[in-house]
Amino acid sequence: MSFSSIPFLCFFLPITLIIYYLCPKKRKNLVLAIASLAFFAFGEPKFVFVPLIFAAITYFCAYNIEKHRKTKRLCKLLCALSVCLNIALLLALKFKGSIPVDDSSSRLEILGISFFTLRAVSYTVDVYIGKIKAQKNIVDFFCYMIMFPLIIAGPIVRYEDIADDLSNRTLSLSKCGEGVGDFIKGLSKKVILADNIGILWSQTKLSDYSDLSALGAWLGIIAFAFQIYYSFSGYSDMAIGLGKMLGFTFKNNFAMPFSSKSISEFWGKWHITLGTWLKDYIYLPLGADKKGKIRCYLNIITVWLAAAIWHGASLNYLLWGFYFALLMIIERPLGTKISQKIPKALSVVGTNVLVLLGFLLFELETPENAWQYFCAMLGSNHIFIDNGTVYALRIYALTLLICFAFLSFAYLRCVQYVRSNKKMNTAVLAITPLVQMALLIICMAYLVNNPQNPFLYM
Amino acid sequence: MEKTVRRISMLLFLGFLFIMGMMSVFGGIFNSDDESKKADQMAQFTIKSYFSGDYSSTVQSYLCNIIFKHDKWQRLATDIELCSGKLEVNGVYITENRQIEHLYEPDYTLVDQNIEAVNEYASQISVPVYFMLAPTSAGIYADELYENAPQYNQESFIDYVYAKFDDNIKALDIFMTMKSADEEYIYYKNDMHWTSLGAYYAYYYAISKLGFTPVSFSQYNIERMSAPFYGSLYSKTLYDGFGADYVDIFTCESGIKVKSLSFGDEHGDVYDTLYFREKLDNNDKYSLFLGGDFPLININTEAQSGKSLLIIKDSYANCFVPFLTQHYSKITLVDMSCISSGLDTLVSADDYSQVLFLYNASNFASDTNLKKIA
Repeated sequence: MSFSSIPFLCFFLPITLIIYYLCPKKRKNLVLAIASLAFFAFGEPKFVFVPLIFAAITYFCAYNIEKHRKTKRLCKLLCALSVCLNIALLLALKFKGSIPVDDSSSRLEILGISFFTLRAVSYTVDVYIGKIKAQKNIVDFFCYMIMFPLIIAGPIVRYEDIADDLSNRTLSLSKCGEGVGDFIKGLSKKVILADNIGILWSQTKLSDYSDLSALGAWLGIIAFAFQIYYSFSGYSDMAIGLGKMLGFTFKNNFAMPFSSKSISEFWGKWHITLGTWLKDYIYLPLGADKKGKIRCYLNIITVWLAAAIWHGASLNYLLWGFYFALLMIIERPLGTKISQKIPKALSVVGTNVLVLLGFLLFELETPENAWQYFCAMLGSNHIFIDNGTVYALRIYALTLLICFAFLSFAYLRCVQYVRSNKKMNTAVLAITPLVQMALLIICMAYLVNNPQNPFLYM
Repeated sequence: MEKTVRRISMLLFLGFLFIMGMMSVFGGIFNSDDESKKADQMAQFTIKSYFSGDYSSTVQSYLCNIIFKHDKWQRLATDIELCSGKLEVNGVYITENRQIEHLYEPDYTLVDQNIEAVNEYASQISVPVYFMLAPTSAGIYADELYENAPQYNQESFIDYVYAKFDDNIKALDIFMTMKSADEEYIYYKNDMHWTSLGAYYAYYYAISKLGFTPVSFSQYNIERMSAPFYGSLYSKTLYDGFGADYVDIFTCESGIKVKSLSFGDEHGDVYDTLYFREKLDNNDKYSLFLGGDFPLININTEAQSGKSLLIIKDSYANCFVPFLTQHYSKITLVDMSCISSGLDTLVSADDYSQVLFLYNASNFASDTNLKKIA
């Protein structure tokens, strides 16, 4: 069950919310924990117990670290135990991922386990270093670990960010309404834009790269960038919206990444919560840039390789990680000097092209494929445009245009203008519920027509 | 202001989803004659089905299917797709005049296997073998598509297949015959099949190759069934912009009558007609012809020619066969997709004067049952 599905939208969500709102404040976490368990049990029947067991281990370790603060060695041991077990689970799944399980050829994956592990590790470490107090109430803790808005994907919420909300949060109809806005925005991004433009990429991806036209290749990889951005940021928006409906405030996960002027800026705006997680729990403990240039570069590479393995233990992800590590290392000394000289538009375009090439490494399974595709982008097939590309442009023109428009500076200007103009702002506010309902209805139509839709993250 | 708007958003959102959910579950009570698709029942819960993931996926697809006004939602999705510039919905092109199936490049290993099976079968028997690979509307009306729309060329596919048949198989190539009649109502606008008129043109061409003189068009009485027909292409898109199709029955008053039609079962019912009008109450009005697809159908006529014909076929033959009853005393139809055993357990080709294979090109390209004949 994903957020963008009929069972979730018409059955799970309204029923959960109504019970949740009606029950007394004290019981809300229990309702949320049970609903999340139901969500998880429904989405991942095979391995429903695995995260529960690991959540219990994490709870136990953190609880005892808190209890035996004075015994330093025991604390260290418990922290190491929890962190190692959780990471071992993740690694086991990532490395075993390519081996078929039982007789089916499906990969061994557990719904949202990548995100689950990061929450568990950051929680244990934060308790260990004394940044936060361990949660004593197991219901509240399970609420944090398997809360249904956060199960499938990001944002990767830290315990410290929602600790107060967990014990005491205020629910108001208007905050819920704000959440509805975020949720519908995310749902529309995912269903109307990402799923549609994704078809263009999946067709390009399956085609023969040796007779792919140059424009077709560019169009394909741009479609992929739109797909992954709108799919993933849409999912984050939905999670944030659901959080608000439940009374929580989650951190933003995306901040217009395609407007970045450098690679490091891009990754500071894309999947922000993963970036800060890697920074706080790997880069900074390793010494960041405080221990000399060479160490700094090695640290950057380590972080990127960790990010790569987090996505999956295969060559394409490793190459992707290495590619971006290299770009960031090159960028570091050049950074400020060059960016002042290059016009803004040029550096934005340059950054996006480099990012697209990185996406290519990420998405195409083998380096040969990525290379062949790259050559096609450069025109090695001596075809600039072919019938297939003309057709794709014809039928995806509107979708591409909308995808592009919402990422452009012009859109930002419009938003700023509307916000600053009081009359306009009121007018926009007044039609907001209507627009939201219209978008919801369009999404519902798409979901009834095509119940299967994939979820992507990077 | 801002707070009020947000409150309205929340109430609308939650209210809408809740009512949709409730109407989907309980709506059927008020509206009991709702479509047949609700037939799929909620899955039974067992520990095994739960842990295999079957239970959860069945429940999820069940919940998707029972959604209130399912067909209206799907229709809306088609409209949105068309508005957004798409020319194709769920694998069906919507052109100016009709719905056309999207043809993908066939799997040639499979196609070659099928051809090989037919070749081998023909070499084993001593009666003449004919093959009619009927084009579908996707082949005949390919030029109605947007010029760069990806569509596999059916005409060249048909040529490919005919060229690979051994010499003892006589090809009944009706592509040009159908193409030259493309101004007429020879294919349904919303269904994969050809109309009776389309089948008549194919018959007119083929029957002389089979050694008979065709019955002229003027000798036929055409009766149009009043039940509006929305076929298989419509059911994929729910697009009704072309209006309904209608099924025609061609009867030759002065011609030869059908003596009996039976479904291969010695003790089963015997009918004296090829048309099952009660099928017009169903969605699939095309099953009016022969009652639909069955593994084996035996037809005996009053024809004195003494000739008999074995047809190995798909559903395209169902509205084609009525024309043949004017010439053959006995016709047997075998549908390979409905039988599990080999062909020889049912019929022996040597008992017949001729053997005719009749497949539509799109079906032949993806058929996985033909290999059972050899």
